[in-house]
Amino acid sequence: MEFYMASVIGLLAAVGLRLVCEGRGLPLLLGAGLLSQAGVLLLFASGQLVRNLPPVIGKEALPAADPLPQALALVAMVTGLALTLLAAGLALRARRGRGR
Amino acid sequence: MSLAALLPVAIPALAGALALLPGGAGAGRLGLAGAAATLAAALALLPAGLAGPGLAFRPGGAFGIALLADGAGLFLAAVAAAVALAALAQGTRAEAAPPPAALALLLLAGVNGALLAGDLFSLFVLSELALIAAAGLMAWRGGGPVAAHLAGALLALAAIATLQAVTGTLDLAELARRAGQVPAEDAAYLRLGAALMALALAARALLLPALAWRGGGGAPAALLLLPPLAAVGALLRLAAALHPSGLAALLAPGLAAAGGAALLAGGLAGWARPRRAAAGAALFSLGLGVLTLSFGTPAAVAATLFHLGQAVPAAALLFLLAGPGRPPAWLALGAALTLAGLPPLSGFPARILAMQAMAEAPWALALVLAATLALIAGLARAASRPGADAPRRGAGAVPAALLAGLAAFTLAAGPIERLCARAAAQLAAGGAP
Repeated sequence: MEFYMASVIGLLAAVGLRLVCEGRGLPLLLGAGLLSQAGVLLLFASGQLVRNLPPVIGKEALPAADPLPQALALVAMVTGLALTLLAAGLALRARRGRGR
Repeated sequence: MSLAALLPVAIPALAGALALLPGGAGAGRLGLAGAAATLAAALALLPAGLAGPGLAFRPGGAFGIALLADGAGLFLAAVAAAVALAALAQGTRAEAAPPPAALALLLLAGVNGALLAGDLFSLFVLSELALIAAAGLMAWRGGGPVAAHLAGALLALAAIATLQAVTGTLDLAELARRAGQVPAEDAAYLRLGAALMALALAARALLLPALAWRGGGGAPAALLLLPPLAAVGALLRLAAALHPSGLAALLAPGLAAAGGAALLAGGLAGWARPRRAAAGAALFSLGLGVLTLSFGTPAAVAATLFHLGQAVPAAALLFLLAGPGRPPAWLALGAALTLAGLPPLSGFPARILAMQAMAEAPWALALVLAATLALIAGLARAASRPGADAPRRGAGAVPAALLAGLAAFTLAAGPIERLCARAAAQLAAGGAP
């Protein structure tokens, strides 16, 4: 599973980087979004990739998923979205300011 | 656990939210009151923050988010609040289009949060808040700064993921403890995470300002000094947390090179283009801060704090003087003397402390001296340019007050130096809960 996860993150980052290198407008925004998704997935994978484990540590010493990266990924998603929207707003503003 | 540690972040955040409410006639006054209250809170907490490991706010123990109000963080937070106060006051008094108070206060909240963050994730989120507010203040035209900012955010996220995966914690105090116990086969990941984090912070401290400041001045430019200040403060904390495991020594050459390059570029920028002298001087100061902190000794950390404490307000003063309203130009002399490190103002003791801290590295001393010469020449060229706008009455009051503040800093240089030394010792001792 790690192999596929790493491939997906790499693919997202590569496509995002290529789009950001266009340097302006919609490609820049889309690339930024893809790059931040790659970052979020990386964060999510830092816990460890496991399935069907309880999300918090119970009374018994069972193996549990690390809840922290999930919380981090959630926050990073929200911040990333806010930033993308802000960039979109700024881009629209700049376009109108130039009288187009 | 201390709720008081929240004050330097909560006050500007709440005041900023209030300033957003409709009917904004009082927003300007609210901005001034919020910045002044933040400054007062940071100064009032300073004695308590210097005692022991500092005031910690850890609602989730060693695993959750943490704010640590220690001496270094509170000192820099007070500097940030003072700069924001001066910029807001100058904006409302002398500028036709002052920066919105809500944006400035949210910027201050993010910057103070990043300065007081006790864990890497709060650091990331709060610096994003500061940068979002900064983006609102800046009229970004091209894609350059946006792309650089994105790259920085992505590097920080990758660093956080790597460090979390290797050590299982993001709390800086806990990280300092666990970094030495990482098994040998994971050591490369630890080094990678630490290097990525330092790279992201250095990009925010040096690269982003170099790209973002395109001439011009005034209150918005002075406010934009704050995010890089927060990044240098965060670098100080990161280096302190990585010191026990020897990782800081690994990062030092990279930080020294980045700081040295910014120092030289800032000095030369003013010489080549007098219109950018203020931005060049600001970049010079930030570069000198990073170069000094890369030496890593407590003396170097104290010298960095002392240097930032007076160079950042001086750079803000230079920006305010370059703004609209054309305040009297003679005030620029005080800012120039401070930034160039010439007596009689506080830049001189600051430069002596910094050069003592880097005494073992002759190349660094030579670099600082050469860049300072270029900076002085550039500032002199900028001062001899005639102004374009008509002077406006009362535009010099706030810059004069800021200059008086710098003079007071000079008079209190001895106590402030001892304060910086104590804060550096506290940082070296680690902020363990």
